[in-house]
Parts: sequence; C-alpha cells; structure tokens
Amino acid sequence: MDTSLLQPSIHGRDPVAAFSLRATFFTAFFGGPIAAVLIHGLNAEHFGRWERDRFALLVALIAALALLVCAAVLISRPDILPSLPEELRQTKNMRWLNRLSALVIWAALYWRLREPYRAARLVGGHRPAWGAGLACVLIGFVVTVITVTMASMMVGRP
Amino acid sequence: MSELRDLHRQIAGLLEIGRVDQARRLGGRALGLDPNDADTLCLLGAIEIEADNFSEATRRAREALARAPDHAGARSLLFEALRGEKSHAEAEAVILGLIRDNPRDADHLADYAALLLDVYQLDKARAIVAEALRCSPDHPKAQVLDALLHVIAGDDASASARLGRMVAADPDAGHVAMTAMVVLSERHQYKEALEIARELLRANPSEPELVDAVIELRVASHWSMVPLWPFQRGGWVGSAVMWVAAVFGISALRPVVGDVVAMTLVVLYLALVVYSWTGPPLLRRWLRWRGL
Repeated sequence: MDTSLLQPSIHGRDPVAAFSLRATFFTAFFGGPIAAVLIHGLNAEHFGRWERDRFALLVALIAALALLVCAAVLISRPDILPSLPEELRQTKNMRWLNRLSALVIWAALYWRLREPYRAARLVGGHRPAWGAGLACVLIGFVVTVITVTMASMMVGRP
Repeated sequence: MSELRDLHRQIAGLLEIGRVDQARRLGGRALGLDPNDADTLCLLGAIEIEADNFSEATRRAREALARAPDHAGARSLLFEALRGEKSHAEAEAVILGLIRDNPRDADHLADYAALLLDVYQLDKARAIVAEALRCSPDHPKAQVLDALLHVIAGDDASASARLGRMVAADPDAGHVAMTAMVVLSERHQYKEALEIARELLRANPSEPELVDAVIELRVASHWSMVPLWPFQRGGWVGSAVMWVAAVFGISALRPVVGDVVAMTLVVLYLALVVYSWTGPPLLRRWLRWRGL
C-alpha cells in the first residue's frame, strides 16, 4: 500500500453539512453573479475545499465584476460599441443578461464542485440555507449597485 | 464466567434484531457480574451506538480501553462512536492506528474510506477502497463504497458493473439491495428503484429513512410528474436551461409567431414552474396521508 495513504489528512475544522444545490440555484437566480460566487464559496468552505477551489472562485468573482462593469459601460456609453444592437443596451435586457451570467457562473462552479455536491446529497445531508442565501443575495445586490454606479461614473456620459 | 458469556451472546442477538431496551437491561446485569470486563463495556457501547447515543458510546469505549488498551473491538467501537459524534480527526487517528497494526484488514480500510467520504476527501476514499478491494475483492462494505463513489463521480456504468458483481455474488443481501436502489435512482430508473425500496421496507418496516426513500421514489415515478421530466432529468441545471430557453427562446420567437402564441408559451412555462414547486410537495403529503 502507498504509505502516504496512511498519513492523517483530516486537519483543522471538520467539514459540515453544506447548502443544497437548490439553495445555491435560487441564491444565484435572485442574487446575480456575485451571490452565485458567494454561496458556492461558502459551500467550498463547508466541503473543506477552500484551499483547492479559491483560485476558481476568485476567477469567477473577477468574471462577475467584469460583466457588471461591461454592462454599465455599454449602457452609459453607447458610442463605445455602436454596432451592438439597441435591444441589448436596454436596462431590462441587461437585467436578463445579468441573471443569465449568474446562472452560467453558478453552473460553472457547480461543475467544479459537482462531486462533493453529489456526495452531500447521497451521504452528507444539507443545512438550512435561508439566512446565508438571503445574506448572499443582499451582498450581491449591494456590490452590484456599487460596481455599476462606480463604472458608470468613471466612464461618464459621452 | 459462563453466565457472563451467555449474557454477551444474548445482548449481541438482541442488538442484531434492534431490541435496544432489552439489550440495555441485559447489559446492566452483565456489568453487575463484572464491572471491569472490556467485552461487556464494548457491548454497552455498541448498544449506545445502536441508539445513536454516540457520546455515551465514546465514554464506554474509553472505559474499555482503560482496562484493555489493545482491545481491537474497543478501538473499533471508539472509531464508530467518534465518527458518529462527527469528531472526524480523532476518529481518523484511531482508524489509522488499527490499519497500521493490520494493513491488510479490509474492514478497517473500508471504515477509513467511509470516514473520508464523510469529509468529502473523495480521491483518497477511492484509493483506500481500491486497497480494501485488493485485500478482499468481495468485501461487502468496500463494494458498496466503490459503487457509491462511482455514482458520486457520475460514472453510472462502473457503478452498475460493481452492482452486477454484487448481485451475482449475493443477490439477497440487504447491502446489495440498498446499493441497487441508490444506483437505479441515480440513473433515473425510478420504478425499478421503487420496487427494491418497497422490498427493503417490508423487511425493515421501522426504518424512517426507507419510508422517506419509498415516498421520494413514488413521487419521482408517479404519472403526474411526467410534465416535470426536464427538471427531474437535468436537476437544477435542467431548471436553468429551461429558464434560458423560455426567456430567450420566447423573445426570439415572438416576432415570428406573434404576440398571442408567445403569450401562450409564457403562460405555459409559468404554469409548469408553479406546478414544479407545488406538485411534488402536495403529492408527497398525499402519499404520506394515504399511506404507502
């Protein structure tokens, strides 16, 4: 037998029950891309995989912020990309795209964490997610508003 | 002394059929005969584990080890009790000690793999299960864990292959049926999984987890759930795809099919969403009320 297998590998805080995939889905759907990253980040911590997945979570967070900045710039400065269809500049459609990007980020992070999510469903059980989910939605909303406002102010009107 | 051994046999027999209270009474009598007997203390700990009273089981296991530090049964009991208490790091130290003493014991290797599964260390759990199966290819717990780990990896074909080997070796064993239920359910073969779950429930009518499993499988295989097939099949990813298809698909179709058809599609989609939220819980309650 590989002797490294007999080295202790359970250190520090024990993993705890995670939030269900349903909870993460609704958090991402209602809270946007930032909330999607936050709730998956909390679960990565619950799975004891923070060290392993923090880079992916950071990339997802940067992607989420970049999408918000792009959306704000495209609405504030139509002259930057004049070939973009007018429909895509409408605030309502931007909200749909924001939600779509949240689901894409949610799905990408789920794909990375799919094995522990399946393990939790089969053997680990889930914890109630109302408090954490609502907190992620609220933080996601505040960060989104701040990011979009700052980006709009920085590029200014043409 | 033979009276004590008789009591031990009776307690073990009662534990096998789940008579915890009677086992506890006999355990008290055995303890009265010899308060320092490590086997008696282990049996008392096993009774507490059966009753999900893990802190008391830990105390009993430590008492047994204080009297007989190398008692293998007491060390295994301590591992089970600590795992039940979710003291994973301590449980790991105990099981690693047991494995170091006997590296080819498939029981201990399978126990360690189960602990690693509890803490989501799936790669190491796979390596330990492989080692257990190398030591004992037909080990029941190692085979169950192997099938579960394949299901977790999304490798249904390998899980089914493992299940096939288990069924061929011992088609009537409870652990085989339990594994079959999980594998079939993960493969969305709910009717087949339901038949197995019902048989398991007939054999163990007092198991609440089996009652829940039968209800869930009955809901999943009910005719009224047919409209929810995309949600069932794809899970939450399926829900996301349905939402994207509805929002962007209907918006794209609207200029082609007209407002009336587009609005009808929107209403149909919303009705499906509302039904997906309300239908399964209502059916679940009705099945519980009506009985299985």
